[in-house]
Amino acid sequence: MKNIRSEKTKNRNERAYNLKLVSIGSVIILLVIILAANILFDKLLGKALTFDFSSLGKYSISQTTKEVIDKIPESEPMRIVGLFERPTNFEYSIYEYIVPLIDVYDNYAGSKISVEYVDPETYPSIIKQLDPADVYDLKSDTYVISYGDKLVVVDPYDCFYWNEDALNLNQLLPTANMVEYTFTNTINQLMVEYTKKAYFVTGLQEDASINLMSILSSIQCDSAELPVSEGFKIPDDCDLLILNGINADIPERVQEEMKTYLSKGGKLFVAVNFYSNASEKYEHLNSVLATVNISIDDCIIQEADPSYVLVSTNYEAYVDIADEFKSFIDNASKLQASYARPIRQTDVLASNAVSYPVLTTSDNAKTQIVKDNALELANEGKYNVGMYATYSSGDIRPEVYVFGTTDLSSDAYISSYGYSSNNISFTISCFRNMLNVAPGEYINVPVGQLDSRKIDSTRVTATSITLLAIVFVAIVPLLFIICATIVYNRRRHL
Amino acid sequence: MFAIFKRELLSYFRNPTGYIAIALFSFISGVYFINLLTRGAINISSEITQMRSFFIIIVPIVTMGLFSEDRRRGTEVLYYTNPITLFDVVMGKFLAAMSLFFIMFINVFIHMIMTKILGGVVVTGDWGTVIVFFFLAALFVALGCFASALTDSQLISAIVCFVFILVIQLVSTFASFLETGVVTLLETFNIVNSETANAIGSTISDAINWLDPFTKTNNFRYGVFSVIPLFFCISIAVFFLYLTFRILEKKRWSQK
Repeated sequence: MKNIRSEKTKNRNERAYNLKLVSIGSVIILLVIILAANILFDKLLGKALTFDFSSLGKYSISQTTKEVIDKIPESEPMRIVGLFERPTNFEYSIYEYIVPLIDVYDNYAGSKISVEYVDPETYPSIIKQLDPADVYDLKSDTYVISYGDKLVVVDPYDCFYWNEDALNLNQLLPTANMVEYTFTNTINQLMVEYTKKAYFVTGLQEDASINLMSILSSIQCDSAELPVSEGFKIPDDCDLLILNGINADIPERVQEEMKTYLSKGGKLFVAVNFYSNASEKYEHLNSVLATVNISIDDCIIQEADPSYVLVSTNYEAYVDIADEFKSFIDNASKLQASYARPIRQTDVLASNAVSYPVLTTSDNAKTQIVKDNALELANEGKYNVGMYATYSSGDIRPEVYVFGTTDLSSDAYISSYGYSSNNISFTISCFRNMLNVAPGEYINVPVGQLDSRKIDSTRVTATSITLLAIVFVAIVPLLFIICATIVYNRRRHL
Repeated sequence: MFAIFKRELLSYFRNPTGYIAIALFSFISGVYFINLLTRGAINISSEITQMRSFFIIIVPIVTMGLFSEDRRRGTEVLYYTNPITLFDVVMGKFLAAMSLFFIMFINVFIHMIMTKILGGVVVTGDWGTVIVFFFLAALFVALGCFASALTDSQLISAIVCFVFILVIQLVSTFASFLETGVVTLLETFNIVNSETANAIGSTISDAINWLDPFTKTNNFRYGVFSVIPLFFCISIAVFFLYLTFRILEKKRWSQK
C-alpha cells in the first residue's frame, strides 16, 4: 500500500517536472522565435515594408535625389554626421522636416551613406575626427557631410527660407522647405572634383562664411581658412583670396603680402559693411586696394529715392547693377544692399590699374559720417556699393571685387534669402568670372512642403475655447467620476 | 471566449475602475486638446503622443484586477472547472481591456471631429499615431495581464505593471547613459582609441534602443508607416500573453 502511494507520488512529481520543462522550454522557444523573426523582418523587409503616407510625401526623396545617391561609389561612402543628439521629439521644430528625411536618404543609400548623430559636447573627439586641420570651425547643432577629404557643413536653419519681417521681430517663420534641395545639392557638390582653391582670411572679427564655402563648392572650388598670424603667407595654390564680412582692418604685414599677391595677378574678393564696425577706416586694406584704384569710405549710404528704398530707415535699399555686369544675372537689374559703405575710385590713380562700378545707388543717395558718436549728413549723389578693378595692360592681371555691403556674401543673408536669390546668384557669377570656371551645378530638386496645422481663427473665439474647455476638461471627466461614485456606493456592500 | 470578454468588459462598469480610467483619460486628453486650441494650431498626433506617456498610469489601473482579483476571491478555480480553455480566458480578458482603451479613445475621435469643425486638418500622420496608440496599448495591456497573473494583490500587480512600463519608457535614456558610460570607461583606461570607443558605445546604444517600442514607432506621426514596429509590438504582446497563459496553466501541474 505504502509502495503504491509512493509510486503515485513519484509519477505525479515526474509529470509535474515534465510539464514544468515543457512550460519553460516553450517560453524560451517562443522568445527566441519572436526575437529572430523581428531581427530578420527588420533587416530583410524593413525598407520594403515602410511607406510614406505623409501629406504631399514630404518624407520621400525625389527621383533626382535617388539619381545623385546612385552616383556615390560603394567603395567611398559618404558620411552625414549630425553634431547633436538625435532628437526624439522634434514637434514644432525644424527637425521634424529634417531628421526623418535624412533617415530616408540613409535607407535608400544603404552602405553608400551613413547617418550618425554625435553630440560634440559628450564626444569632443568627433570634431577632430571630422576636421583634423580645424578649418571649418565645426559647431554643435549642424550637420556635417564628409566625403573623402572633403567636408561641407549644413546648418539646419539654412534648409529653410524664412519670412524676413518675422525675423526682424525675432520670430522664425519658415516660408519654404529646402531640406531635400540643400542636402541633395551638397551631396552632389561633394562628388565633383575641386579644380580651384579659395582662402578665407580669418582673425579679423569676420562674420561666418560657411554658406559661402558651400557656394564655392558648387563651382568646384575648395575652401580653407588663412589666419592672420605672425607668419602670414598667401599659399601658392591660392586661386582666390576672400575677406568676407571683416570687422577689423588687416595688419601691416598682411597688407604687404596682399600687395605682392595682387602684383602677381592674384584674385581678391572683399565684402565689408557699416553695420557693426562704423569706426573702422580700413587704412591698411585701402592701401592694398589703392594699387588697383579702389578705396572703401568710412561712412554709410542712405538712399533717398523712394523707388529704391526697402526699409523706412533708408539704410536698406535696391542698388543698380552697372551695365557691364548686367550679364552676370538674368532677369534682374537691381540687387539689395543694406548698411552699405561707399566704394570709390582713389584720388590718386595708379597708371596701370583700371576700376569700374559694379553696383550703384540712385542719383539721390546720401552719405552719413560718424561725428561725435552721431551720424551726420554728408554729400548727396550717386555712390558705388561695389567696384571691380584690374590692370589695364600686361599679361599679369589681378582681379578685385570690393563690395561695401555684406548682403552678397554673408551667412545671415543666405540663410534668409537662399542660394538662388539674385544677390547670391550675382556673387556666384563674380566668383565664376574671376576663377574662370563653368556655371555651378545646382540640381533642381523639388521644394518640400510645410505643414500648417492652423485652425480657422474666425471660428475659434475666446468664448468657444472656454466653452470647449468646460466640456472637455470639466463636464465629461466629472460625469464619469459621478458614475464611479454611484457604482461604488451601490456595490460597496456586495 | 466571448462570454469571458463580455463578463470582463461589463465588470469594468460594475465597479469604479472603468469610469475612473475613462475620466482620467478624458481629463488629460481634454487638457492637451485645449492647450493646442489656445495656440491656434491643433496637431492631433501631438495630443495622442502625449497620451502615450500616461500608459504608465492608465494601464495598471485597467489591468491590475484582471487575474489577481479572481485569485484573491478564489473564483480562479472556475478557469479550470468550466468548459473553456485558458487561452479563451487570457484572450477574453485581454480583449476586454483593449475594448476599454477603445472606449476611452472615443474622446480623441471627438477631438478630431472638433478639429475638422474648427477648420484644422487631420493628416495621415495623425491616423498613424492612432494605429500606433492601439498597438502600444496592446503591448502594455498584455504586460499588465502578465503582471496581474503573477499575484493575488491588485496593488502589487499595479506596481509591477508600473515598473515594467517605466523601464520600457526609459529604455532610450538607459541606452544613452550606458553609451556615455561605456565610451568614458574605454577612453579613460585607454582600452581602445576614441573612434572605436564611440563605435562600441553607439552599437550598444543602438542594440538597446532596438527594444524601445516608442522610438520604433516615432515616424508614424509624420506619415511614415512601417509594418516592422507594429509586428514588434504585436509579437511582444503575444509573448506576454503566452507567459500569462503559462502562469495560469502552472496551477494544473504545480505541487504548491
